[in-house]
Amino acid sequence: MQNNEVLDDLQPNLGAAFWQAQSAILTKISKIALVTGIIWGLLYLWEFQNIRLYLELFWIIKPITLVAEGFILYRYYNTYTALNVFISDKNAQNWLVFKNNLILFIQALAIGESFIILRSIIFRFLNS
Amino acid sequence: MPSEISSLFNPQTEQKFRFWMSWLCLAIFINLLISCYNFAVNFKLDIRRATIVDLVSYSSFISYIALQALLVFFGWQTLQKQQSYINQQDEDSLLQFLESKYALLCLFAGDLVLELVNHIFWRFFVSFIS
Repeated sequence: MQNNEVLDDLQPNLGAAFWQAQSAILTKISKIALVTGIIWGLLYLWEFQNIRLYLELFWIIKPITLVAEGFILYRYYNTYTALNVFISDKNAQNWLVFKNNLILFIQALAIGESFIILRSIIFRFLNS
Repeated sequence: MPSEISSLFNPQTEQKFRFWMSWLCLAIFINLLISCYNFAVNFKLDIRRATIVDLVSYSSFISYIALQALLVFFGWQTLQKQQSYINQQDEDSLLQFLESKYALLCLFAGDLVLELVNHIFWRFFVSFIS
């Protein structure tokens, strides 16, 4: 059986209502997350103008944080777009693209969280 | 094992997801421990003398810690659901795995919103009061 036929068979079993409900919820959540992320990024950019007021270390930390946030947001947007493409056209190729994008998003978050740990360690070390 | 579901299964993709998800859960867990330590060391709230700023910062720190704990829990649960999907490869386990992924994405969106509110509060509200 071809993958496309598999998904066609799977779709009625999973239920169109299920996909529609999940799609509606995720679309709302993704929009909130995207808008929030953009506002947050703009706030960082605005603070970046006053960078001279911060400690010397912030010359390094702030821009890296800004780039990391933008990168995570970019991955989130890609995952969101891939999911919408899959929901509108449920075929095996779109399913694979969505899953790969989701992994890349999780990967970006994992690297971001590791960076936060590193930042905490650096500040702890500097404070002592 | 139903052949329809198992033919959608890609072991390499699942393995990659498992690796990065485990890393993410571990990193959030370490951050949770650091947050708990900072909370225990830095926050000494005297409720009789506390100002509105102290109360809001106290509650925002607690909600941040609670959200991190929820992220670790749901991340771990997603890994459990994925394991069950890998073992069974049936429709029920696939649906449960998908639902836990959605729950996790909801929490990440909540995390972003909470951090933004916290940022706005500290940047504008506190400087306005003081």
